[in-house]
Amino acid sequence: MTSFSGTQETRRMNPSPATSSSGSASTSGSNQVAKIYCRTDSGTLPGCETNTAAQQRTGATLLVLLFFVSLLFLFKRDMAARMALLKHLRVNVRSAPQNPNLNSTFSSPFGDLLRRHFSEEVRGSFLDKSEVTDRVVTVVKNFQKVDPSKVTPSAHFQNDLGLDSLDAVEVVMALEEEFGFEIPDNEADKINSINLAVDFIASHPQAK
Amino acid sequence: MKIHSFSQRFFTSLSPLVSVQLPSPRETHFWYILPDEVKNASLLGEYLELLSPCEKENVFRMRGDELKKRALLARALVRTTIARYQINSQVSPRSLKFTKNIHGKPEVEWQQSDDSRPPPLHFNLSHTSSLIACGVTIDSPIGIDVEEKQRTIKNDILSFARRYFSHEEVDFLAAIPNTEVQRQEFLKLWTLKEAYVKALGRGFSGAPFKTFTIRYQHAAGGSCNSGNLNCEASEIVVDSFEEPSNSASNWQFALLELAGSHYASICKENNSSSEASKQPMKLTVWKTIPLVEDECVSGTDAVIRIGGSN
Repeated sequence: MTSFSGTQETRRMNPSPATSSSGSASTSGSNQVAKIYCRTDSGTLPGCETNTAAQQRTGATLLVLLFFVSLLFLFKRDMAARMALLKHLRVNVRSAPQNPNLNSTFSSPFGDLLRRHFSEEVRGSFLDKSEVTDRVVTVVKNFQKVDPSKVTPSAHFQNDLGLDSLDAVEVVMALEEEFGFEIPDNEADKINSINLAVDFIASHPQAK
Repeated sequence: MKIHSFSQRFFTSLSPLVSVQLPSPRETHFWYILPDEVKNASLLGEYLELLSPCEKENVFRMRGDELKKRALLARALVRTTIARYQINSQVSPRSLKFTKNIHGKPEVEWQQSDDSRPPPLHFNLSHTSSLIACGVTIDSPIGIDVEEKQRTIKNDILSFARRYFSHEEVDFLAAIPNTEVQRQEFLKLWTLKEAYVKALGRGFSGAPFKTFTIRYQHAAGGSCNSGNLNCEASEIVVDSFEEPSNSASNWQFALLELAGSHYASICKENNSSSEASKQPMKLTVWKTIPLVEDECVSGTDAVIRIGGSN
């Protein structure tokens, strides 16, 4: 469920040629070319078509299997094991460039595709709440008009920090940059404290 | 000078609220407080007495004296301002009751007397740390917003605009080469957009900032482009993409420079006939220290109209 919506979101936000649909189209395209080549060149040689196609199919089947196995793994009931695995995966991904500003370093569309697919599996999970709290607190402390000593996890933007509506929008934008996803306006409207920001981000599968 | 004389006067007695005639349908009244001018602890105590228990609770919930004072002054301003109009003959600042519409916009909850419909008074409040303002109209919803001219933006202005403003507004800002001018124009646009959304009374998500454009238009009909920021003689209009009916002629704007230090935007629904709607918004501005003194500053240097005057 979560990974499905994640896929949708990625496609919406990244209408570049590097989508998985264009990837599969080119695969079937090369399949066709192979078939035509075999028929014209070697007449009715049965082995030719089956060989090439079989290789392709095996590859595809393997990919599909791998996908389902990983899905099964993800939805295993044993939550502890799942979280442990995801944490492990996350650590691995973390070592790769995470900053959204560095996205452009993945210049090749294929690299971008790989990165998205890989991080998407991870994104099917949720960030650890205490880690989210630390990062949100750090983001808010970075605001010049905010007294850093007042930025506690329970701080209310207006009542405790004296932030106004423009500040609140700026905080939301800074959180979007920090966690690498867009916070919809109707959600941003409700985020008026550190706690609410943490709850929303920690329950959002796309937060990185 | 005035403050000095006030502190002497204060210990004798507070002046009663000066009552004011309701604005005419085309008129907007605009009242503001400069919190730095209100320093007397006993006066703040008087203001506190005007608040409902719930409002007091909200004031005490604010962290730090500055935030408490700002919240207190905002409530005192809105109560004393509305009470000035002497609606239903006897309204004291303390007896007013407030409610909120479903999107959270505050409204007065009038005590229903007999079969009369509730008074058609609309108000809206906005505050920064250094200025608190309340706008009042009759028969038409109003939204106001104030910002300090010196206010800086943490994000890059164009990135911010791309995220929250319409394409037309981004283009307008992007074409301004001078970053300082760009920041000023950004602030003006922000206050105008806030004022419009507050007038609509549906909240930030009810009318997302990207779904409408605020632009300057010469009275002749042409638009002010960024190469010509000198739009003093211009009209400010809104184009709503989601509700084309909610466009230019339905809303009136005014943009002011207040006390040399703030931008203030006012948006009110246009309830007049098409001919009257071409008239500029009539505006009267007071600087006040409630229960102490009021000063009508319209026509003085404290109020400079920089847009929306047709």
